[in-house]
Amino acid sequence: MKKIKYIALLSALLLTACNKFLDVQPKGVIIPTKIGDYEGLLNSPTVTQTFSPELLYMTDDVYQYTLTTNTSTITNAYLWRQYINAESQNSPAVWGNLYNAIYFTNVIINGVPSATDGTAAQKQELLGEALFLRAYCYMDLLTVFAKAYNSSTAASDPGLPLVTSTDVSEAAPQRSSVKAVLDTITANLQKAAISLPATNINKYRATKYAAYALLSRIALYQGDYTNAGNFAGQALAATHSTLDYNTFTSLTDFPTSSSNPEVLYQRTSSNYSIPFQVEYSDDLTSYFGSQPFTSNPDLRYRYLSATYLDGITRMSPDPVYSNFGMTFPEMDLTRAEVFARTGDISDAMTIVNTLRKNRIDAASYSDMTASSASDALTKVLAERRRELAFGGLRWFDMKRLNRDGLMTDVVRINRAQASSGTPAQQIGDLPPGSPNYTFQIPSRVQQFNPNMIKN
Amino acid sequence: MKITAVILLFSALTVSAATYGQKITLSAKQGSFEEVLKSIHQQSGYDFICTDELLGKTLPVNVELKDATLQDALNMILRGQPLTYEIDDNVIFFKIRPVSAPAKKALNNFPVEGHVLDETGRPLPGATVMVKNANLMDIHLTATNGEGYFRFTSLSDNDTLVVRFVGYKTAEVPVQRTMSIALTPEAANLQEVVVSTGYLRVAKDRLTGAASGLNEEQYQQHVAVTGNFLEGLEGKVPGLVYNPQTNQLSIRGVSTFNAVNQPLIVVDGFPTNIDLNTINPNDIVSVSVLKDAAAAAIYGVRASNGVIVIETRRGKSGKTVINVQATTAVQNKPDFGYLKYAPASEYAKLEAAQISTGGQQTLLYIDNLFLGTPLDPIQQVEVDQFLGNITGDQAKQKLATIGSYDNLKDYQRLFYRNRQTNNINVDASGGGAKSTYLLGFNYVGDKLNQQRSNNNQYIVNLANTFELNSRMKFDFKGTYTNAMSTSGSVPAYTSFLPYEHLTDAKGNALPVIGGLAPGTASNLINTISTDNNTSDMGLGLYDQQYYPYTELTANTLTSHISSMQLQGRLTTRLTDWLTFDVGGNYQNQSGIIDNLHTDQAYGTRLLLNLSASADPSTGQAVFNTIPQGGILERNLQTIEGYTVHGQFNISRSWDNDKHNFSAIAGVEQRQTITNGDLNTYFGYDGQTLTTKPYDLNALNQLSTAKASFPNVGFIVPTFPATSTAFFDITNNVSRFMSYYSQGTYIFDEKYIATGSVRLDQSNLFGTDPQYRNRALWSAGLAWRLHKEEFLKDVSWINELKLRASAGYTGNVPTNGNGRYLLLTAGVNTNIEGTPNYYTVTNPENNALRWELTKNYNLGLDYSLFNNRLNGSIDYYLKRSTDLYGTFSADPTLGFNSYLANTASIQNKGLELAINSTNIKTSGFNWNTSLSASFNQNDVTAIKATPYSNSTTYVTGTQYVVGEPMNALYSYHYGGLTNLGQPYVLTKTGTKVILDGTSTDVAQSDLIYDGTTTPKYVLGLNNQFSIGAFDFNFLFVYYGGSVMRVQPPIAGTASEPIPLAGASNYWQKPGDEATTLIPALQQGSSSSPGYYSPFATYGYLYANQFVRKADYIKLRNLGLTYNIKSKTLEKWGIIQPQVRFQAQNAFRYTFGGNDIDPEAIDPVTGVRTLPVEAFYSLSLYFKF
Repeated sequence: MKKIKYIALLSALLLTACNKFLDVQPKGVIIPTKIGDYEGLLNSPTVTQTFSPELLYMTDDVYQYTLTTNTSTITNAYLWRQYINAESQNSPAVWGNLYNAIYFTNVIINGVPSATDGTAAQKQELLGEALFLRAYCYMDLLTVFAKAYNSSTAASDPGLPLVTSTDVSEAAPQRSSVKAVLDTITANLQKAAISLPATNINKYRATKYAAYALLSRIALYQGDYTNAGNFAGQALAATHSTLDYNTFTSLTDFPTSSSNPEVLYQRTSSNYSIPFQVEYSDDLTSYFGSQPFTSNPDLRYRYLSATYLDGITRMSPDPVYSNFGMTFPEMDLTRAEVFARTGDISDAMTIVNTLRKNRIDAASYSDMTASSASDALTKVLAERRRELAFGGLRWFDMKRLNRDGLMTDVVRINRAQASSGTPAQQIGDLPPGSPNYTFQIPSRVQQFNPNMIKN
Repeated sequence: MKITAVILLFSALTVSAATYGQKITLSAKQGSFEEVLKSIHQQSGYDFICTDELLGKTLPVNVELKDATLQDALNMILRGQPLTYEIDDNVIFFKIRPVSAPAKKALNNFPVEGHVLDETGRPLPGATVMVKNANLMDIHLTATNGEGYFRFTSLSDNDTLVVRFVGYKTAEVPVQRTMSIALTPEAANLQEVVVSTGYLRVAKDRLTGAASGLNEEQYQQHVAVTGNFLEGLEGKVPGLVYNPQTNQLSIRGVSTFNAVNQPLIVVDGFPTNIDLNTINPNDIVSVSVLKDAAAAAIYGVRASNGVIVIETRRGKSGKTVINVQATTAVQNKPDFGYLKYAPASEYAKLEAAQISTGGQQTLLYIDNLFLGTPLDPIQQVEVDQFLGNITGDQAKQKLATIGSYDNLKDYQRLFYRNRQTNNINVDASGGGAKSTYLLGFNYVGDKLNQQRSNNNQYIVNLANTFELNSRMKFDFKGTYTNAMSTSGSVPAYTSFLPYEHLTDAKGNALPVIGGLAPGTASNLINTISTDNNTSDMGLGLYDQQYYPYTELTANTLTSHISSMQLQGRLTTRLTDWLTFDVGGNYQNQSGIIDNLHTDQAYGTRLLLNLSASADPSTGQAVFNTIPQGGILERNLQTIEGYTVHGQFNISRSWDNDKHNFSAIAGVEQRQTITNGDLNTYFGYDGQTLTTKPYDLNALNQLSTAKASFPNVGFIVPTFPATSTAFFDITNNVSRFMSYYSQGTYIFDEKYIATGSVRLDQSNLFGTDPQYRNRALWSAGLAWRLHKEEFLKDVSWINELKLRASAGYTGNVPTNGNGRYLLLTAGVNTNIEGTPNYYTVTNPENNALRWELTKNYNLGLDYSLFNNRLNGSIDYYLKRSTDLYGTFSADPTLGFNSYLANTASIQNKGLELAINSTNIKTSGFNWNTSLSASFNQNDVTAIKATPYSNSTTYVTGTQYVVGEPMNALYSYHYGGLTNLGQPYVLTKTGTKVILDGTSTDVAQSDLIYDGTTTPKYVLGLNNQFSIGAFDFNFLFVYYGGSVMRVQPPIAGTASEPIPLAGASNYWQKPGDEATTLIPALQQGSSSSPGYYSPFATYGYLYANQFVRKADYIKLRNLGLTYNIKSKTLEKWGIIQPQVRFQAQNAFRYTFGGNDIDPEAIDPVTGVRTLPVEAFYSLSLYFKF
């Protein structure tokens, strides 16, 4: 009987010891509860590499020798085919990775208020970053999958599904109108701008100036030039400076993106070959004049180009982390555009010339002048084209300029192949006003949401 | 003298060795002596010889026996008879009882000497020998000495000796002056089939659930040459399906998609977490397979896939016995001819034709000139002809020369060899009355088919049992395993072109151009032209060409794994009905996996060239970020785990055994910790053991940095993009706490009720408290019909038991899954400062639940005709719900796919086991066993992925409600148009040339062919023994499934190398009448015969190329010669045997014998290398 007592004691020990035993959490995996857990999401490649290469290939900056039988997402974007994804199994290009990033921001937006640590100010700051990032993603999506903003139809033009839940078992919401999307993200950004810090740990992380810059972009997209100018001005209140390319002798002298004082907000792509293996279109080259890039007075063209295959490829000041985000010169040029559009020719040209002085070989530099408001606008837009080439914003500009009637036919050709004697041939074009300025929502999304309105 | 021998029932049909241990039950009133003898003969299997004369002297018999031994029975029926008997071999002779004077009894005392032996005739030292009912004054107790002898100085005729030895049946023997007493082991009682559930051992006739067992003899029929213990189970256990080639193991079908899908393996009562190779097949004495809930639910959440319980050998009391087994085996090098690749001559023609068809391809190759990549010889010829550098005739001649050499034979010779395997097993066992020991050693040396590929493993184990006192027993086992394997890198045959030379005449490696980059599906984009390579080498860079033959020696993968297992179990008998077990198991496995790439390896050379920078003044290469030399990736992996449990066992019966109750209840705690530590050394020199410093940032930027030397190339195909692929630490702790109980109640020996319940708790995510305390239970009933009055008199029924059970088993999610939002951490090397980050690995999914399987089983166990025909029949139904699966999801919600409860499936089936003793004579025995499983698997619910297009549908297996898992679909292929375009037919007969869109053909236009998972699995084992020879062969049959067999197609786009016969493609109008193979693809979509690449799917995935996958294989054939040699015996060598075994020596395939269904991907139809026959020769002996 004594033994039974011992055994009973042993059993009791085993039974009571178990609670602590099971409290050990698996390593390498966490359920977010602390403010640091949420902040960590903002450093994730999912969130820092939001730029989709397709957004670059849609633009008139790019030339690519293309087989018409090719159905890659890059080619479909390059030839403005209705669907960017030819198939419907894989995560759809542009849509998939941006909505994935939006999920991350929703995790923060929904979770941070109940984080177990952190001050109210820290929570507000993090919330602001997430709201900013979500707005940034929606803006990219809007330029691809919805019609350009048109004040008379925006309230009825289908925009995007605005997802706020993080529970994947719920159904996706219907598409909100273009206006509703823009109104929502504008309101989010205005809220974010208040709580965002003036500086952040690196350029991938938002500041209040980044919020103003994005607000400026949104206003510009909507043709609200007053606000575009005002917000650009607020963004430019940040500490920044313009690089004088005359102080450089080659590409290697350029600072990396992280130490570049012109970079306002950094975005990269998971595809590292852009812009390195992307060739200039003949149209873009024509903006730099007839001189070859090696001796061109425009130092942007001279230093940021290289011979590649049968053309010229774009190089990047940063060989690793090419920036497709926002820069201070973009804000300068937005202000210049606003001046030009409102007839303030001299202010517009002053901004352009201040920038050009830092970009053109000092030996051949002379101020640019404009004869009229429309001439000023043309010159500002041309400068914008040169300065922001391969910067990730051209498709945004093409959308709004097309609405304004400022785009001409964009033509895709295959250049003549000298070695095989094949002549040049046209393989596609995008005429002004073309419905192809708007891509169809991916077929995969349609499968899951058969009632979702199509473009 | 008239002697008429009456030999009762001499027919060979009725004698069975398996029945010698049979207990005798009989009842006679005034029965004739002869009739009683017949009855005993039927029950015991012993023959009797009694003369007519003696029979005439017998008196009628009155006897009432129940489960009596043979001797008791004979003593009872001979009570009062004038006869006595003698047992000689298997025959019992009767003779007149000598009449002895009663007075002599007390007086005639004499010394007695005796020898106690085991069943094989070896002496048993330490056996206790005692005089029955002895007078206390006498010396009445002794023990045998080291040679098994004992002696009493003075005993009388009347005395009886009682001989006891642990593990043997107690013998009672009348005294003689010199005695030789042979004990029979307890385990030799073959009627008592015992099934081990791991927690307890139960006599099979007390089970209500479905469990199959293999004993040592059945299991050891197969020689596990390479040390894989699972091989010996195939075809022997109904419901268990094991394919040695794919290493897939399942019990009663697959009941999950994504959770753990392997049965739980329990060794000596403890689930094993470490490498299954550490189980020495030679040590296995029993295998129990638990299939339904009543048998397996005691394992709770891990029981959904069934449980395999293995028991290993312990020593036996007695003199030390040494067992030796030595095996040597050979296997031919694989037959590449089976793959049916187009020979070089055909390939050369096809490649040339493809290039010249349409400008697209040609342009592409010319494009390659810009990148500085070289053209392969055929491309060069075509381009030269295109540019007018050579004439058409010259081109034709060049093509013929190129195609005249085929490298397949050289490839086989350079990279493959015959396999040779040696296996040695030695163990020593023995023990005394209170303890036993077993010390074993096993060595496997395997020279595998691939050159430089070797495995060497040895296992040492020690097992001890101790009887500490009359109440406590202790069992200990320790195993140490050391395994070392090395291999070189054998490039796939598809990594170059069939006409390329791999070595020169002297055997030096040559570079190649074509084919696929190692480990990727893309072309060797970094292949460099000879000119560029030469100029780069002039700058101090490494040779950047790809030499397949060098890869073999330039890369070495070495894995050195050692593991240790210790386990002990203490059983304490508290009362005569209650025992307490406390046991524990500790496992520790550590491995060093070294992957060495010398600077001769293509990957290393490429990495160094990519990271090299140019000296600003000389332009020469400087290796200042990644140092020159080899690269050693060292991965340290450890698994450490323990299990402890405490368990009460109750066994009680009362009211004259009318009620019998037994139960166990216990608590179990488990922990498994796995660790991984990956480190990489650069500039490594294996001889001096020096390594050099490197720039970690350079590693992070490998995929982004642009090489300083333009010829080197832009993209890194073979190296990981960030430093985390070179350095990594992993750690995982999983803990479980479980409470379990199981009980059996038997009423009147006829009706059995069982129940079990288990509760599992773990620290893993996803175990929501809501479900954590959800107990998994089972209940079962059994009815022993043969014990009923109405069957008692049916003499040909020995056993008939009806079983029914129901219950739940579960399945755990793999780690890191669950309904919560889960984040994993990483380091973002793409941002300056490499900050830590979190990423969402598992989205929040409030609908996620645990997998659950409801099990129902109905079974019948039978044993008929004197146990000559026995087996079981089981019908089961398994309903698995809430199965995890990768759910293809709406990307708008953030994820293109995630883990969700996607499906429910149902498995139902019939299992049949038949064991038959066909012929049993003294010189010839023939036994047959059949195990058959019929499984029908149906998807009952599925959270379906919407149909997107037919091409993605046919290229995978689908889950469709109402159809089995792994459903295969194909096109109704119509043939070719008059332009050679392949078209398919819709249901309505419309011709469609596929273009890969969702609108080309609808889901309903596709043909359902069947499932790729076999539905019928049969194993037929025949065993003969003729004199000194034993012969057995095992056929397995897999049936009810289909497979796709890829047809040849011209054009190199869809396959690495086209199959032979591809040149019979459509070339001119009219060919469509004679060939099904599409024309070559046109380069330009404006060409008249153009078709989309997707159109070829209509041909490749045509219904015509789906075949029945049913096949029969002679999985195992064994021939044993039992050497009978007096000389060897004299030297102390016992039971010497020579055994020859052939595995996979023959196959028959119902869908055409040119395809081995085990050597093909049934979904894509791509052939894989078949396993060659494996021949082995073994030598066994004991001393």
